[in-house]
Amino acid sequence: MVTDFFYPQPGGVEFHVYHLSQKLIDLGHSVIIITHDYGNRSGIRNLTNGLKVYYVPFFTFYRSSTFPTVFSAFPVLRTIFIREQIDIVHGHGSLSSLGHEAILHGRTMGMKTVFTDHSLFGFADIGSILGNKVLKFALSDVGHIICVSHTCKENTVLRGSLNPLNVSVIPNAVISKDFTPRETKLPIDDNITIVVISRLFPNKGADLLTAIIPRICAAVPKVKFLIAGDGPKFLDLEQMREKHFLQERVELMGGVKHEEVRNIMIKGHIYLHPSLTEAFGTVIVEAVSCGLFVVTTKVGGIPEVLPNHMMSFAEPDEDSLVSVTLNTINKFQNGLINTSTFHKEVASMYSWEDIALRTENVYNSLDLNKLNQPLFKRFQKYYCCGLIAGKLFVLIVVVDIFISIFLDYWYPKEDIDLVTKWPKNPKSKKRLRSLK
Amino acid sequence: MNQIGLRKRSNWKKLLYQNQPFPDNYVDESFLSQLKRNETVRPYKYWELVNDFSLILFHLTNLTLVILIFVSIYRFDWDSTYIVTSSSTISLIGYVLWELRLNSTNSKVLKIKSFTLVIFMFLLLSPVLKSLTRSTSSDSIWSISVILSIFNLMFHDYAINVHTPFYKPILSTNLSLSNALVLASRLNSTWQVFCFILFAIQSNTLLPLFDFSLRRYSPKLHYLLFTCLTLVVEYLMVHLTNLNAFLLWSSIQIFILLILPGYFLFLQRYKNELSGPWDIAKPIIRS
Repeated sequence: MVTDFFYPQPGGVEFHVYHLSQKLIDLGHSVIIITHDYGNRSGIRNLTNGLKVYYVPFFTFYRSSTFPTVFSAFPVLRTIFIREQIDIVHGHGSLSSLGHEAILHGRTMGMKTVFTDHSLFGFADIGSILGNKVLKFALSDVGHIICVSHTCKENTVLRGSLNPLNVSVIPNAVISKDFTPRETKLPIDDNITIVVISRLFPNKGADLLTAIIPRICAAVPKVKFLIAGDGPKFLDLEQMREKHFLQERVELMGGVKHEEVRNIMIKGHIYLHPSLTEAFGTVIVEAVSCGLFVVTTKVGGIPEVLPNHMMSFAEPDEDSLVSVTLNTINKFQNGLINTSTFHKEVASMYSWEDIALRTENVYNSLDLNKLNQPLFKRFQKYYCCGLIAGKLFVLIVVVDIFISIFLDYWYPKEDIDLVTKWPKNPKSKKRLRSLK
Repeated sequence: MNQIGLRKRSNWKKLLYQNQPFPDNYVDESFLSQLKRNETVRPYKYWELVNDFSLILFHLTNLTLVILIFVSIYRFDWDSTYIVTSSSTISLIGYVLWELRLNSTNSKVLKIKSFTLVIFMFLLLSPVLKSLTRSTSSDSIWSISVILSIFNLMFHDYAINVHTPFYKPILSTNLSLSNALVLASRLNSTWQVFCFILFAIQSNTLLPLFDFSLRRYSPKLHYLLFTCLTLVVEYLMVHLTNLNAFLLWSSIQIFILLILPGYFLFLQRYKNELSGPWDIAKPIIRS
């Protein structure tokens, strides 16, 4: 597993990588994670079950992704790959240049590669155009690609000009025992509490949130809001609260740790999700697992995630969101919504064991004979990426091969010590296999 | 998981929470059905494009005028006082027209005050400006001037939509002023420096603003102004340069006005704009 995004930073990719790794270890695989350093957290750390994490010191430049240097990580990655006797390189996140680099060098070293895409990108703005070109380059020669939702798959196939058969859809999951509903049911009277947990960025719909809260508060006199999360739009929310004298009814908690999310969620009846783009939306699944009803905007992959009796959809429009929310509050007060079965239903829908088995399936489907085609074929794949870009990409690959030869000469494989593997736990493997 | 491909099965659903009897890499017929292409594209008309491209030519003509005036002073020793007096007279007439007909919101005193201030500042600074690039060779100055002009042409706010509330071509104003200062530093006397900079400001800074208001008020008058400007530049071209330069200038005019719009129209067929459910939704906020 190689990604720029990992613990101590919270987020969807981070948890996906961690939980998937844990379950793969349970399946009897040896998993290591390579990421860049976070503050003073650099070097090698061992997490639960002998999950080894390499925090490699790289320069980070934008939202904790490393500077795209193309070649600079090759020596250290090669050493780690050989030391740990790696067979499969699995990169995560399309903004993670470390992940892309690992896939490129892994291919140069003749290894199996998999890439997981966690996010959606448009085609219009300059950032996306550059990002898509990089993605096209990184994925030209990858073994298999995993996307977290069907919408994400369509998006990735278009962005990287890929064969859709080479792309699998494997969603995120939640640990359902971490997101249990409260033991005693919240009394449903006039006091309905609406929970929002989101980083307050414009693309998470913070502006919509700021616009609808005063309207909902005015329409239903006893509704309360509980908002957790921090971000550039926090100030706007505070100003809104002061302007409309809602200090008593809108609680702003600021940033919270992921462990606390459950305890915040169970204080509410409804989870409001005003995001403008979302590949999967793990937080919705977490909320439903905690026994909340979800009101969400109908964007990205959200409609695929949960059945209709667990959430209601609004357009990303202030009026629509207000009316749907009010409608839901009304239903709640009339006792038309029963959330008591949600937790069990979600537990049967999403589990990391299932995800790990499906990912293992992808790993098993990779065939080195098919992947390691003659060099000329590999060049052809890159050359077709674009008029100028294609030539540039071929040049990069050629340089990469030269670096590989150089490294093989100066730091021969035989001189690199192999690590002792963490002892396997035979019980867990059996248990998971029986699930299959 | 490899054996099943695009086989037709009707009961597949685009859902994640159901365990469906399909492999993870299954591709349904509905794949990419929500993809929309070229949604926001509207067809262009050739003459509308010619009209838009004429704005580029207008700006280029304007830049050329300043350079030609520089040539006339620098090389042919034309009387700079005469030039600046006539241009100032035209500017004054234009200003009066502007105040009477085109614009009546801002305070007049402030404008006149700031303009006077700028004039006196340049009058004060012109000895400094004259000796600014003494140690630089003329060739470097010409190339800097060309680069500045090209950048100016690239980054000028052409304001194709006349009804934008704020029209402030800040970058191109700065670039044209830099160009004027760089060129002026080659002139021989302080007075020439001052006159040339004053002319450049009138032509490159005030004229675009005036023309913007004029276009809003009456497009016909804009074309009249455009024709006058072109005639002045043609006249200067004939008098100051040789036949080759004149022919080059004429072909540039035809190229920008008639050929470039056609090329733009031709490129439209390669337009491939993709949009779908993955795009960031545009929130509609009413308050």
